[in-house]
Amino acid sequence: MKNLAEIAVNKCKILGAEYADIRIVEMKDEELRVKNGKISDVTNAVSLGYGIRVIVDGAWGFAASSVMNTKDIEKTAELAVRIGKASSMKINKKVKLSKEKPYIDRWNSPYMIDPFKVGMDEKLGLLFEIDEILRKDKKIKNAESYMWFNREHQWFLSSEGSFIEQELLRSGGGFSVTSSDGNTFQKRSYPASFGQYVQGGYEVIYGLKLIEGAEKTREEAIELLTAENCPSGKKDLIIVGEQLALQIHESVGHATELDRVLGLEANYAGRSFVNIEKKGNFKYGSDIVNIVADPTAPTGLGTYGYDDDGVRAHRFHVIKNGIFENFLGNREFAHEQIENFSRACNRAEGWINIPIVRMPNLSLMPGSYKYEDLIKDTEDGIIVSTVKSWSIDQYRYNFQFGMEIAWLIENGKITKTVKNPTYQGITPEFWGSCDAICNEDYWKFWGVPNCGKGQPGQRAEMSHGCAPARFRKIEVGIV
Amino acid sequence: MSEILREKKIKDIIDIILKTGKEFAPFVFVTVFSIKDALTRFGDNEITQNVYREHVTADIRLSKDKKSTSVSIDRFDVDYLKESFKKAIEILKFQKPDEDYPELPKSIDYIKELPSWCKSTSELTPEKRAEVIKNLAEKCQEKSLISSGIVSNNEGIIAIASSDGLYAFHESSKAKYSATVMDDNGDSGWVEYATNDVDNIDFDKATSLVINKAILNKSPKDMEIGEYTVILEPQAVSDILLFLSYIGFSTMKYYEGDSPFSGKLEQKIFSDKISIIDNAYNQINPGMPFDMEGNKKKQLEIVKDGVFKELPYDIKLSKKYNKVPTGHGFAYPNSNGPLCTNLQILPGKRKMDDIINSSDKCLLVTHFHYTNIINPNDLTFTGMTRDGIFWIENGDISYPVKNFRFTESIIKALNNIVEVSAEQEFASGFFGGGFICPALKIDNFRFSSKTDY
Ligand SMILES: [Zn+2]
Repeated sequence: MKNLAEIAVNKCKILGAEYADIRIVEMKDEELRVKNGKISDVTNAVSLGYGIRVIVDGAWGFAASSVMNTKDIEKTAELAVRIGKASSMKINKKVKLSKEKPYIDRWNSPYMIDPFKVGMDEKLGLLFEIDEILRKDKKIKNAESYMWFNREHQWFLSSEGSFIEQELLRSGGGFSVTSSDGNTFQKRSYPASFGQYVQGGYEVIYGLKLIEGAEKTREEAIELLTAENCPSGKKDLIIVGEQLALQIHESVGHATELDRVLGLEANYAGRSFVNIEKKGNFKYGSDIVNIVADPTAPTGLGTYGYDDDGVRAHRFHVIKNGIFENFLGNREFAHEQIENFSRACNRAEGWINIPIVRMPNLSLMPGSYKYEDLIKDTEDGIIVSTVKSWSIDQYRYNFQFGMEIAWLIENGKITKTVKNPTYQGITPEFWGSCDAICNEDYWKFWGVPNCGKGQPGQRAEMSHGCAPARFRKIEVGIV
Repeated sequence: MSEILREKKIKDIIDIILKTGKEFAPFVFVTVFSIKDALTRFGDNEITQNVYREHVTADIRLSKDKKSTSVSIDRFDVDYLKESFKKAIEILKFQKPDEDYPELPKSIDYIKELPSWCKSTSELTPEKRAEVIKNLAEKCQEKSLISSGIVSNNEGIIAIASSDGLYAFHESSKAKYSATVMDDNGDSGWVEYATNDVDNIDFDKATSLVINKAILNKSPKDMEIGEYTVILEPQAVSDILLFLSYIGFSTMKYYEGDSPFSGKLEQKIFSDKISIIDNAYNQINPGMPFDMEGNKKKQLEIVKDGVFKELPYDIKLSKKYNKVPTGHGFAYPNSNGPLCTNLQILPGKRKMDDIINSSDKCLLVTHFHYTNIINPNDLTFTGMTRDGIFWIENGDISYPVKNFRFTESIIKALNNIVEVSAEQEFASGFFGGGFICPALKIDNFRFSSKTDY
């Protein structure tokens, strides 16, 4: 691999590239799905290829291919340089990368059991067992359970002397059921709306306690059919689990990506209400809100040794005691936030994409509450759980979310289950209303395996750690 | 490379896969995808990203005694294929025969002469894409405006083949120009064109259109939330079709009871001004003439004058419900069932200008951002307006309005239709795909919250 990589980078240099790197990536995916008593999908996918990225005359070029031989690699390198030259036809300033130390290193996700070596009987056996529990009631019209495993083996070589090999292993799964009484239908999922994923091996599946969660999930889906609709009006909102992870993802993560802030995503995903002037002084949330980017945290989906710029991963605050501190950045945009080093957030999906600014693991730090005390302490509230629908504007400012299930709190007690819960808010007001966060006993990583961004569209994965938190007087329900 | 050579290259891959696969299973089905994809991206009036990617992959299904397994790979040498197949067929041991296993056709007669692939699109160079951007960016810089967007072109091939002799090949191309122009306050205009033939895009016209729209949208006024009569431009209407395609008109959901239209065939579900067809053979954006199971794609009349008329069928559901496959199937085993991917709301008679001129006290919406279904039971969806929402009074566009969030039921909206425009556009959806839509004038459309941007 190193040999082919060197050929590519050398060719780019000869053709006049000021900077060149190549990422060779081998991706292996296995997905198993059981739906209503049958195997509904078994996918085994392998992909190997490379992407060559150059800076020529101060502008970016990139070309990618899966044909792995010297002749084709040189051809792809030539194309990358030609594209870079075309880019230089309309630039206002030359690309300036922050100065970083080159690394020769190897990094891999720790794991115990290689999921690709676990027998199909074991994996499918578990899914069929879950499926049987889920379909024990006639009101269940649809049950689907699944597992997914992914190994990404990357080799990164740059013209600055870096050669980094990384091997990432991701595992996870879950299930969902749909109930119907002939008129309406409701869905419940476990452990999260699209499953729960972390870095690790097959041991992750044991940790999900899928069998243990099946009966309760089924019963909740049935209970929702006759539940009242979520009331509308202002209530104290307690967000638990993966829904709070999504709230962090959409209203802090994407909002603080430097490329969005600089207007480079303006045509597609949009910009951000957070601008450069807000760094270091903007009140993003209440004093107890601390949000930390940490690609070094064990088991996160956004955990890595080095980003795809070859910069070593490190932990930093995005929001500290409610104040906005740092953007998510890369080598190219470091100087835009007046820093001389990269925040190591540049990542690409597979070999076929260029790295773009991506959230690493991004988490809300725990507070001091016990969950039971938080409920006792709430007079007129609602607990919402499990992502159903999400929508946020092009400035990451106005959002509306829908969840699978909610429970009303009246005078410190959970009184009833309600269906079709929604809430809406304005990002800084919303985080400003956060007045209680549960302690580290309730804190957990929730994996987002499918965050889409960029054109051509690409996917990235990251985790968000959080413990249940309360937000005062939030607009809930559809008015 | 000529078309014959391009097809031969794919055929060679298919041949080696079928031959090798037969050593492991009596039935082999292969789908080959080939993509060449070039995209130049710009922001802040300069080129920021510029990529070219090519990739050939094959999805291969090996079947035996109504059991099957699949692999997806992008290397096609015999040794590698053998190694992959050997591992893949292990799973057959743990399967029970699937009584719903579809019997795939052994041959197909489909329309090959669709104008889906265009030489001009395939030959759009990085230099030419850069020219388009340079032109727009310089015009914006003169006017202190900021531009961002993409110019892209791609070519794709989908070929299917089976060891029983089935073979079909389809080639397509697409060029896209999407541009946003805004001032320092973020008041913006937007245009987007996607077409199989790049010569259909009048870049100069599009460039002045987007600049003018941005200028028209300067200093939008604050307006109260509530229900308004709206005119949704085609790009906004396409979001409605997206959710109809995979929820409302999903045949599997229809039978499983989680479509809001379950049991409502032959009933009136929308205003009689709404007729929706699925037509892969339309001239504006031709789709695939066959589906992933090897059936010829039929044109469907999904909704006629507001009445729900028919649904797409794949092999499995057609057998189960005694229907004929309509060519809307995906590769076995898919858990979503057949779906319509070439939906079109049939145009009305009145021109857009005429609709605007005859309107009073209503809002004109350019497009939506980040729409999502919030309640599938009545297809309530939510999202933001984007890049221009304008107040119309006495037949004139009076002034721009600040963006709103809307929360509205698609079913309610399509029952409150006042006008359907004669003009129609191909609109690609935010999350991929795309549909052909007219503009729709809709009464009582609900805006539920405001924003500062
Ligand atoms: Zn995301």
